[in-house]
Amino acid sequence: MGERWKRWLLPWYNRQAGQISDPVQRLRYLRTVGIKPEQVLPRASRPWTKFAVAFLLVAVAGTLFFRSGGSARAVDKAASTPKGPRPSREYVLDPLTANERKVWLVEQKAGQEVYSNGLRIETSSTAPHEPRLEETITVDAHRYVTGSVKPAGIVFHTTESHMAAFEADNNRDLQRVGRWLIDFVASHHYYHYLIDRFGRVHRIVPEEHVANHAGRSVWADASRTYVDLNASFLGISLESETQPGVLMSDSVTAAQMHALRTLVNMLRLKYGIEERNCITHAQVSVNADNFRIGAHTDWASNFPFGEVGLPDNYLQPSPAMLEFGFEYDDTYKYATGARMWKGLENSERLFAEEAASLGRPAGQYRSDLKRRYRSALEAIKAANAARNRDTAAADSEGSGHQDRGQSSEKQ
Amino acid sequence: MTKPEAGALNGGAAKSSFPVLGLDVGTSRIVLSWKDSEHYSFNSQLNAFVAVPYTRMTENALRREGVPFEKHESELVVLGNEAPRFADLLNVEMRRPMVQGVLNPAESESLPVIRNIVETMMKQTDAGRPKVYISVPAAPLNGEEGLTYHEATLRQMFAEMKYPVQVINEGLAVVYSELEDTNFTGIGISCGGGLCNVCLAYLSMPAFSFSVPKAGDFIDASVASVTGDLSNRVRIVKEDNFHFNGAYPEKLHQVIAVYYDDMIQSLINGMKDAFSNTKKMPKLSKPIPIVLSGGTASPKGFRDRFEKLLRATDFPIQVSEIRLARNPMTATAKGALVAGLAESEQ
Repeated sequence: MGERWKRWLLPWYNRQAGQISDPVQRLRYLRTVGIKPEQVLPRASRPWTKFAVAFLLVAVAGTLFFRSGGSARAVDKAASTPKGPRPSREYVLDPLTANERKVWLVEQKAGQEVYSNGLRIETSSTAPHEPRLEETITVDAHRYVTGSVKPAGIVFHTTESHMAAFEADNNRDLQRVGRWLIDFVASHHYYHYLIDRFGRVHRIVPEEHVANHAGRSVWADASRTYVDLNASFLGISLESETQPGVLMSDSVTAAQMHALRTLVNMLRLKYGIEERNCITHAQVSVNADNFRIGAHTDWASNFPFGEVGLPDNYLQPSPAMLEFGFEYDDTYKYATGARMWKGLENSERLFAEEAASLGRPAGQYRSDLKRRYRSALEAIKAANAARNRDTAAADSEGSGHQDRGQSSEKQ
Repeated sequence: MTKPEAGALNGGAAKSSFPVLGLDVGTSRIVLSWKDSEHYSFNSQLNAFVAVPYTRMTENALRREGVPFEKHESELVVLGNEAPRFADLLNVEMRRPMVQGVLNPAESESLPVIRNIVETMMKQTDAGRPKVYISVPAAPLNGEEGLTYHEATLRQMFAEMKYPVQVINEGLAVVYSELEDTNFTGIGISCGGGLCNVCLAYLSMPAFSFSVPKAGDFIDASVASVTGDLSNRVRIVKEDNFHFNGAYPEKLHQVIAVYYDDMIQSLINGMKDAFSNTKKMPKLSKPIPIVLSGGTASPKGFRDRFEKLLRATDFPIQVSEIRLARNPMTATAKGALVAGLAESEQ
């Protein structure tokens, strides 16, 4: 149990091992980093935990019942109260059901697509942007992906927009605010998908096009490092606002969660997206001016990975810290939760180990990594400028071609 | 990497000291591996013997030819690669020290024979007392009969020979030998004489291993029972000129193909059941490769046949590719050596 959390380091070990050319040295590395069976294997079922959870639920229900005076009416009133503590939904690992392992497009007609897992996508607000391209840059012999035709992952966002209370009396306002929001994000190509508060999934930008959702950002998986994810990751946003702490934001509705699960399910199967590449905006966004991670903090602490059928990706180390020497400050730590802190601890430890293994003082090593990131940004700018020149030459109208989302992002 | 020695036991000996050796003690073959600067080298001997009547002339001839043998009161026991030649000459079945991947309980000479073969191979390394990493089979799907005794006996044998020893699962050794490109993540299968050993490893960590008790010997015995040939002859034909191409020149080849299919299907069914029912399945984020090795996997077309039957099965794991080991006969010994080198001090 004590070592289980280290499973989130496995992709990092995998990546490091891949850089060792000699097979014996590679095996030695993997065997000395201390991978243990409990990190590789799924958690053994513990029957007593089910009894414990059941007992706890019964106890909580009983307490509520007696505190309310024991009347059915009092219980109904407690249940309908919009505010108040709710049990955390963060740690529920809810794997895909059999029906979710194969998803297909059932019907496609004007304004709507229907999928076999219950997903319905509204397509009437879709605004084409720029096609995604395969693009990489190379800095100090390191290759970074800046564009990918096939989406490499998904970044989860919140709209941080005005939230009317989710009440039947507010139905008209809820609809009107939702409509304004869709028009706004579509006009700016902010996300690929927006899920409104009634759980309707709106395609804002076609999947094969770039959306402006995660401008300055960094992520990595076992084989590739991604810089500026607009052209390599899909963006999904919930009409909601961030709430610091461990509890789900009150603005997120059950309908949204259901829709999000079906959408992620469909996209992962369609593109073979790795589960570790499904992360939140707060995990990937960086501030290139002060070299701090978490320039945006949407879904910084309470994204329900389990309910979406994903592992708790908050525990993953930060590639921005490890690859480019980024750090974090108290503001970010306040916005995030304990789960993310473990990921940050992992990152700090791995960074120190990496510097030590190279025989470099940590400060000097960090400076070099920061220099590499600045070089990467320069390379991206140069690539964008070259593309813009090509586009301008080809396009006699000279319409305002925006950089490939490298710096454009919803603020 | 040098080719494995298929000739006399005396040939191709290593002449320098090695801190670590890999040894595949298989039902069919014993393969020794060592690393000389950047090259892996191998010495392979058949794990079999034939007893021939004793005459002084025969003894002298065997010595002159460097053929390993043991002298008993009334017979000479010919070991290793020379055994088939003598068995064919005398029209008798070879005797096997091991069966179904473990020491043959019905063969009283099993341990002395293995010890003799191994000792002769070890002497050629001139390596002092290297640590020997030996491969051992995984438990069969239905239990662990004989494995504990087999492993303990081998350990004792090496202890008596004054060699420090470490054991490694056979399927895992295949992973270490062949899957460095996926950081030792994937399924290693060793199709030997007595067993097919399977190991699923994730980042070098063995997650789940087992064996299927249907392999080369099953094919030999089944074919022999149908055609009336000796198992030994079936084995020679199978190893020398059988290949899966759909056009078989003789009935023997046709029957071999039938039982090969039976063996492969049993292996795939066993894997399917095992991987479907195990609670030890790691979370795999992407498809993983399968690598096939062992003498039984050597015939041309085996990989294609395996892939065809696997793809026709509702296999519970996504497979990225199915490949044959670079040298199927020596992959296990090489993997055992790689494990030893990785654990030895730089």
